[in-house]
Amino acid sequence: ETTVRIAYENNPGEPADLVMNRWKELVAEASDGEVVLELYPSSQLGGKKDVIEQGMLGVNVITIADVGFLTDYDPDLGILFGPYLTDDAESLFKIYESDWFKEKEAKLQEQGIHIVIKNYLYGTRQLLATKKVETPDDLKGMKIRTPNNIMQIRAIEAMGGTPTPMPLGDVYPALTQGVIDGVENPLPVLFGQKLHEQAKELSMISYLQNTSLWLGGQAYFDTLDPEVVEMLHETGYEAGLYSQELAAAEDEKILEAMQDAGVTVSYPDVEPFREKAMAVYDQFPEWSEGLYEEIRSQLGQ
Amino acid sequence: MKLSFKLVSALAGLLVFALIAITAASVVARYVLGTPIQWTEEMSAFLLIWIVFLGAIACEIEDHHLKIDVVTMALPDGLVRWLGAIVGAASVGLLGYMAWLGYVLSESAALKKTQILRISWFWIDIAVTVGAIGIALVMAWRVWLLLTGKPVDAPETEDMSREH
Amino acid sequence: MEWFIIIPFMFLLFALNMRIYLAMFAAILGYFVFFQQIPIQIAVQRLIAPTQNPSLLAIPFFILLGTLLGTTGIASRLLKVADLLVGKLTGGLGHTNVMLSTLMGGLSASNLADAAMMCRMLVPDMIKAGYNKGTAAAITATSALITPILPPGIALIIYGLVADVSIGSMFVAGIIPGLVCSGLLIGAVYLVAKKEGYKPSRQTWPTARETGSTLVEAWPAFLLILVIIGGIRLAVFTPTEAGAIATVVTILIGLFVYREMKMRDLTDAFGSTARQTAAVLLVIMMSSALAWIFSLEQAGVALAEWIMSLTQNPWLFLIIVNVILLVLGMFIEGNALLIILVPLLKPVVLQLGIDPVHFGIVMILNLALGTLTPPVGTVMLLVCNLTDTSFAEFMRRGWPFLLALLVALILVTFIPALSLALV
Ligand code: NA
Ligand code: NA
Repeated sequence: ETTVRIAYENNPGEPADLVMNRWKELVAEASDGEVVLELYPSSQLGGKKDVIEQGMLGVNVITIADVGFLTDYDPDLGILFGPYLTDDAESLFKIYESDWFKEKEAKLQEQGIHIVIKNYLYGTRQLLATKKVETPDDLKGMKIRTPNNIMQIRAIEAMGGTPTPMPLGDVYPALTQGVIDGVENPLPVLFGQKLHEQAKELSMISYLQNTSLWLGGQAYFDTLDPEVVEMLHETGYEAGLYSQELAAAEDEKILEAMQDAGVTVSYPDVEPFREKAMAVYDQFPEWSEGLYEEIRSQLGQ
Repeated sequence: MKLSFKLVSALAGLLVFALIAITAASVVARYVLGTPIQWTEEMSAFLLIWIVFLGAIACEIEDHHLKIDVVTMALPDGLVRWLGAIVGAASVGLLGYMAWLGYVLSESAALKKTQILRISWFWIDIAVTVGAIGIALVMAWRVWLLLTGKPVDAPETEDMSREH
Repeated sequence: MEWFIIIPFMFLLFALNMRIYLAMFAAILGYFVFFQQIPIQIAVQRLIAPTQNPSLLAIPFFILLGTLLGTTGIASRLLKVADLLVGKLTGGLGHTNVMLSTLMGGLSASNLADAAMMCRMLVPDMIKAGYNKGTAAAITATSALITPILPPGIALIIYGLVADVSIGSMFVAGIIPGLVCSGLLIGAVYLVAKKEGYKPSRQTWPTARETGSTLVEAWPAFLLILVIIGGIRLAVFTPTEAGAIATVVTILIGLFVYREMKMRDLTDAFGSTARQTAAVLLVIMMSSALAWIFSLEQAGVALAEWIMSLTQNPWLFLIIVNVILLVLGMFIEGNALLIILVPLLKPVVLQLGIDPVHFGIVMILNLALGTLTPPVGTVMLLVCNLTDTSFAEFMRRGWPFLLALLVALILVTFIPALSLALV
């Protein structure tokens, strides 16, 4: 019997937790109970960086990471977290199947990172604020909390807001006190963190299709039976599909719940936001020459 | 010892000063100037770990690390001395191992950089090694005093319980 | 559960007078060497992790603030004011200590920060006024427990998130239990002061003239309080940042208004802050690494199943949970325990018809009590360290106050209305 640990920062009941529970079932089924996934929600084994480090040191653990998180290993990967890169998540997933990404994946494996799921949709990032935001002008002077991630900081800045990085755990009190005016994240996270209790204006600017990777250390995967690794990949793909389904369903459910809680939802014209956001694609000199154009052509756009 | 105490303590104190200054500056930048400083969080975390491990060396010199002396207080002096030497030597060993592990971890994390300031995690993790070596040296000195029968009282430092 | 042997091993090392953080580190290493095939450097990674959490910054900030309040002369003016208000009562300074924590509890989210500040501001004067050092330390440590229960509190937020109840409700639910703790402590202070013969610090109620001149002389102190409260309420800064801002204001007052502080005092204060921060944080870091082991071993699952197998009676269930948490809270970091145990216990809590908000307050109060008990109760360690009190002395003098809090825990456990009336 093989036990594989899965660690993530999300709390029980959030979409990531639901998807992992589904994956657990899929794995149990596919392996006749021979392989067991053990789930560790709520950062029980540590934050993202620490768990990835544990995996790279050879610990049995799989965790979730934004592509933005892998830019230390390959700066080019950062572009996959770019604002308004594609219209929908579906076309973004095509890039993950492209030759360009396969090359990157092989390079990461040499550096000790083994990607298990690459069709995982974390959600579409929206803006929840204390004031209505319908145009980039409305964003002027508003302090928007972002994760400590250079791409999101620059994207919010480009669209006119004042990015204010702080840990997710501090956002609730910061909103309560008005230290920040808004926060961006997929709806399930905004709702899961109960931020709608403090900020009542939801702007569906959909500025970022947030895909995520589930990965572990190559050193650990090398110790596994190749058949088990393949089974994990196959069931992982199924779980990824479920995450995409769930994201859509959850968004709808949460929109309703938020409105019931007194949140006003607005659907601004995203074109002006997109135009401003494009500025970020010139701000990363560390990217390969012509990266943006290559990605666009991979997308056939 | 007194000099090294002053040096390490002053250095750690300087970092505390920097921590206060950065935090205050970030409030001013955010509230008065409307442009938050984005690297405050990273810099504070970086400073805090160095404050802890440098502070820990100074704290060891003045023998102020927390311990539970309820049991040993009931023992005869001679025995306490020997026990102190043995536990001290074991502690030096533990700290040496901690220093080594910290170094191995720093090496393996060197590639990873913080998001904004692009500080390599090596410079964060290595604080453990520096701190552990420093504490181990102080402790080894204390064990030597115990074994050679010299008085082991902590050197006179600007005592924290000083009245004002 | 063989790995659990590391806990008695750790206690043995405590008894041999090894530094607490090193004894804990030895236990953690023992786990990695004998019970898990995991690269040992991860033990060090788990130590570093808590220092990367910004809420811990409150500790150096408020330790420094407390020291500076003393050296600048602000504390002594504030004390005169407190003396005006309650000095005529038996155990006046003790009451002041509890009242200040209650007032601060509504601003600050950290009991460590509160304890550090009170140790600096009040304990020296309490000793001067004839209080036993252990008593003064115990009053300071136990009243600091009010801070995490009164909103805002970090534990209230964490519980709201992992148990999926409104953080707003948790905040409101904490108010009465926090005041109950405060009231019971004031009662305990009164009884102890009566028995020990701590005289009122003044014989008569103050005259109007005396009141006037004391208040006028204390204006910079009021300014400081106004800056802190106003700054947080007007959203200029967060409670953690408030520590840094208050420090800056205090230095300015010390240098330009009262002019009692010398440059030497200032540099000394920075150095001693670093040393005390180190002493306390090293233990917190080790305790959070132990929590990681607890989590990796899925000990929470086993524990939750065991608790559920014991009883189906809600009251009995709450008592058992209380006893187990009191024990675990003695050596594992409280917030980590919330994260591990709450999701596992919540289904049972609902099934037994216990309100999750009420359960949360019981858990948080309980874990806060864990910070006051040996061997690694962090607040107790901090206070003993800052006041130079031995643990034995702390326990010998502190039991009436700990007992008062235990009574508060029992009341909050068995009278759900205390938590739920305002929700
Ligand atoms: Na509080
Ligand atoms: Na107090």
